[in-house]
Parts: sequence; structure tokens; C-alpha cells
Amino acid sequence: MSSLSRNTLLMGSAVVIFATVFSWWIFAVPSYDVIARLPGMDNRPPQKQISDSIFIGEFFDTVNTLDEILPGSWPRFRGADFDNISKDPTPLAEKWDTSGPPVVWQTTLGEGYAGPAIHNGRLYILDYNERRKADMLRCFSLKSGKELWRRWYNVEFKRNHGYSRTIPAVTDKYLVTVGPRSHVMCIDPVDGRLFWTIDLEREYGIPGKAKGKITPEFYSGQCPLIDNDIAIFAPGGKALMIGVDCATGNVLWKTPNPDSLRMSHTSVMPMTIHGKKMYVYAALGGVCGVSAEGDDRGKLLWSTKEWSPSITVASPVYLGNGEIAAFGSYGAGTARIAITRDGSGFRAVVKEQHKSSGGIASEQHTPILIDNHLWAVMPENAGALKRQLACYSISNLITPVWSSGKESRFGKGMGPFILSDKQLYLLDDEGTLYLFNIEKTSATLVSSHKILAAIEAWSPMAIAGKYLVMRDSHNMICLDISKKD
Amino acid sequence: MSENGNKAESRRAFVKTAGRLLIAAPVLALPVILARKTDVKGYVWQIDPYKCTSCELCKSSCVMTPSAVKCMNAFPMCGYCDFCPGYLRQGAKTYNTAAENQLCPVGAIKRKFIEEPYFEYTIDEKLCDGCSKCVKGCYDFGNGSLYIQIMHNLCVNCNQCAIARVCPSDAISRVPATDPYIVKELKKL
Repeated sequence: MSSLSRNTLLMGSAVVIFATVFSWWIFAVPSYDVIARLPGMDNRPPQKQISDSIFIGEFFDTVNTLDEILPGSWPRFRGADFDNISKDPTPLAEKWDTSGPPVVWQTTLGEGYAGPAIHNGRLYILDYNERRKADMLRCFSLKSGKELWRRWYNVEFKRNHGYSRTIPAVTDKYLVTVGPRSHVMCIDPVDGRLFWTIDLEREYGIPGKAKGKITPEFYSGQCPLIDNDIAIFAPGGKALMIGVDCATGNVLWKTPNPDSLRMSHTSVMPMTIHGKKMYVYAALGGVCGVSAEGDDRGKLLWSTKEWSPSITVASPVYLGNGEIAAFGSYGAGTARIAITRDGSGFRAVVKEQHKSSGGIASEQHTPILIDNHLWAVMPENAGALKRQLACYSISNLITPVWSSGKESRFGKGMGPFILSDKQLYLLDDEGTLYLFNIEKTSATLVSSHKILAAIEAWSPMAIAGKYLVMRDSHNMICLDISKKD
Repeated sequence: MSENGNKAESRRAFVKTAGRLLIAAPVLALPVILARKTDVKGYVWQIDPYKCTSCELCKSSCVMTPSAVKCMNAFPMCGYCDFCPGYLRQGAKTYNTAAENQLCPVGAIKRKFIEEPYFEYTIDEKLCDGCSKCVKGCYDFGNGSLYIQIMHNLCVNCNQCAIARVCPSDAISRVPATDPYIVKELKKL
């Protein structure tokens, strides 16, 4: 073969190979093993409304009689003034020795995070009895810890980070509870007589609608509110908020729910903004204000969907000057919402918002407002400030004016804190109680003591008289925190 | 006489030889002893999940591509939650398997319905690249059952582990190859 024909053959082969490869490259459709991730791949069947019939408040047991009516009251979530500050005049110990504050009594509870309300020497807690599968309102003597009576009803549901959640609201005449599956009871706080009940899920749920479900993920955490003998609930579904006459159980007013806001784990907070008393609620889907007085009681005054974290637990705090701080969990952070009022009514605008790592944040417990400063235990995802006690001026929710420092972090940043005068009691998730002395914009750790060998000590604490009551997932303990001579 | 002399010489020679051996033996053995002491055989690298801060460096620093670090789920600790913060991204409005709701960028976590309201979460190791986003989500808001480990069927056991060198929390150390994983366990009271 001549060199010319060999070269021609080689050149021809190269051209054919190139043309083949080029054609493939041009015309072939590139494909990868892509698996679409679509809803329903977990094989979850359509959710059905639970159709069990529950006789709320069906059973009652008397166990003991009250030994003594002690002074001091913590009548609801965040106390009498909704600020988580005890104004009880009893002098409290400024520090503890190595043995810590004395334990007055201790008792076991069903697994959960329900907190106590205290009134007229009685302590009430809406427990869940796992053996009987029952929501059980248990009344204890504050002095001795002896159980006095129980009002309960069977309700079956599965453990999902424990069972119980809420704190009752109590006055001299009425006591109202909200159970984990949104069952409401109103009873006599002295003898446990049942006045009326509501199944919020049944009454206000909209079957078949995703946003018509009342009880949120991880069950209901909304603590009830009694305002002038009217019980206030925010069920969502068919009614954004309702007011129920405690004496009769009649629904006095219902707030329409045009934006399909849903029940969150926060609680309704009464606030007076621009001279108008209103119930502020951080729902799932938005934040709203409902008139709490006058002829328009129950009317939706304002709402905003601009702030809508997927889970929200800490309740909103009024900062003054028409501004509210609203908090989101799971890293959502905090929003400053400005409420304005003009001739046409109220309007809400989110003025600023930041993630948990960008300013004040709270995973579970509502920050405490003292002298224009917000105090909070920062959540796990708050960057360098994670799990620290921090203080922010209400004028600047981004930069703290004080924090406890990287050597002073508290559990997973989800434990409760409560204030009495200048003393801040902070319980970490694992059961160590810290006593801080609060100055205007700083705090000094005075004492600490391991109280409970705990996991998930997440329930809010209560102070009544000389007693501080706290719990972990299974135990409730009453401490004497009074000043000793 | 000569027999006695030979005996004396051989005794002297024996003592000399023994002395030399006594001196030489440690000198000769020293490098062997030192070599054995620094030999990594019998040890492997592993992450202490209780020190890990989910910084995501395990994904990018490992010499293997994808990283030999994979996520694991400690089932006794898992809450089997519907709203799983290790599975769902922050702000997810619906809790299902849609891609836009998932936190894992490569879809390595599989969610399987068990019964209301519980779901089982398992890891597809082939897809997992050890980014730790799920670990952080689970630790920050959940029970902390998701954690990362160096998988020894993938790890080439470098003399100096590239991840250990950059780990900001000193969570990576050598552990006996007979016990190569540090398993997370449910806290007991």
C-alpha cells in the first residue's frame, strides 16, 4: 500500500470517528439517574380525623383534704401580669449554701412539660396518666405536696416528646385547662366540680382541610387565659379566637379566621396598644390582634402574615411604643412588629426580623422584659451566643448589651427562667438551678445547685410565697427559696 | 593444661560475647520498639459524636470523594417525629418528602411512615456526603440522634487524617480497630 493511500485511509478513519463522536455529542440527550423527590414517598396514608368520643372531665377522685391555705399565687402561664415576674413580697434568699435551697416536697408525674398554676394554697397541674391513658387535672396542697383531688378523662394519643403541655388558668371561681388534644375543661378550683367542656378540635376543626386541623404538631401548647371571667382560646380553624363565659360555657364572641391562621404553641397575650386593650396571638401563619374590650370585643383589629415561622413556641412580648417582639423556633429568630393606628383602624408591619444567629431569639420560653431590656436564654443555633443568658435593649434586638459568656451556657438553651425582684432563677434542661442577681443591664451568677437529675426540664416554673415549683419530664419539686434568718 | 586454657579462654569469650549482646540488644531493639509504638496498625480514625459541632468540614476535607464520613441514626434516641428537624429544612410549610422541604441537599435521608405520627429516618450511605446539615438540625431542635461517623469500609486510614487536622473541636482521634465506631446512646438517668 502506498503511503498516500495509507494516509488517506488514516485521515478518513479519523474523520469518520470524529463525525460519529461529534454527532453523538450533539444529538445524545444527557441523562442521569435522577430520582424525583415528591410528596408521598414516605407512604403516609391520608390522615383521618380521630373519631373517638371523649367525655371530657368524666371522672373525679378525692384523695386528701387541704391542710392549710398559704399566701402566694401564680395563677396562670407567666403569672398574674403575664410578665413571668413574681411580685410576691416574701423575702427570698440572696444565695444558697452548698446544699442548695431546701426541698419541701417532690412528686412524680406523667411524662411531659405541663407546668403548675398556684392559687389559694392549691397547686394545679394538667398531667397525663400513661397507665390510665388520661388527661388528669391534679390538685396538690402547696404546703405539703399531698394530692387533694383529680378531675380526669380518657384520651388516647401517642407520646410525641412526652404528653402533657399546658398550664391551667385559675381565679377564685374558675379553673380552665386545655389538654394536649385541645380538650377544654372549666371547673371549680376548690372542689373540682365540672362546669363545662369544649372539644376545640370537634367544634372548630374543618375536616378535610389541611389548615382546618386544630391541634398542632407535638400537641397543643396553648395555655388558657381567663380575663374578667371570660375564658379566651385561639383554636384556629372555624374561629381565630373565641371568648367563653366561664359561668355558663356560652361562647360570647368568635373572631372570624379569613387567613386560616392555625393554633401554634404560643399563648394569647393581653396587651394595651395605642390605648386599646387587645389579645395578641402569634399563630401559625401570622400574628394578629383581637379587640379585648368595648363593643367590638372579639373583632380582628389587625393581622400580618409577614411573620410566619413554621413552629413558634415563645409568646409575643409588648415592647412599648406600639411594637411587639414575636419569636420563632427552629432557627426562625425574631421579628419586631409595629402596630399603627389611624382613623381607619390598626395596621401591623414587620419592621425588622432576624434569624436566631442574628439577634435575640428564644426556642421555647418567652423572654422577660425588665426596664426596657429583654432577657432570654439563647437557643442552640444562636452562633457564639448559643445557650447563654443574654440581655438586649428593646431599641436594639440585634446586639446584646450583656451575655453570660462562653463559659456559662445552660443545657440546650431550652430551660425556663423566672424573675422575682432582682433575682433571676434559671433552670437548665438537665436540672441545675442557677440564681442570678440582675442589675440593670447585667447579671451576676450568685449560686447554682443541681436540683433534678433531669432530661428535658422544659416546663415554666412558678413562684408563690416562699415556694419555687419546677419540674423535669417526670418529677415535680417544690423548693423553699425564702430568706433564712 | 591447654584444655584448661581453652576452657578459660572460651569462658572469657563467652562473657565478652554476652556483654556485647547485652549492650547491643537494646540498641538494636530500640528502633523496632519505637517503630511498633508509632505503628498505626490496630487503630483507626473516628469522630466523637459528643464533641462534633457539625461544622461541615468533614464533607470537604476528607481525601475521599465523596467523604468517608457518613451520617448515622441512633434509633433508641430518635423521636421518630413527623416534624423532624434533621429531615425538614427550616421554614418548611408542609411535612412531606417533597424536595423543597428536605434539609439534606442530596436526599440521603429516607423517611418512612410507621404509624401516626411516627416516621422512621434511615440514611442512604451511597448518597450521603457527610455534610452534617441534618446532624445540626437534629441536635439543635431534636433529640440529637443523627450523628456522623467515619465509615471504615470507605476510609483509607491516612497516617494523618485530613479531617482530624482541620476539625475545630478536636472531635477526631484514633480508636482501636476492634471497636471502630463511637455509637451514640440514649442518656440514662
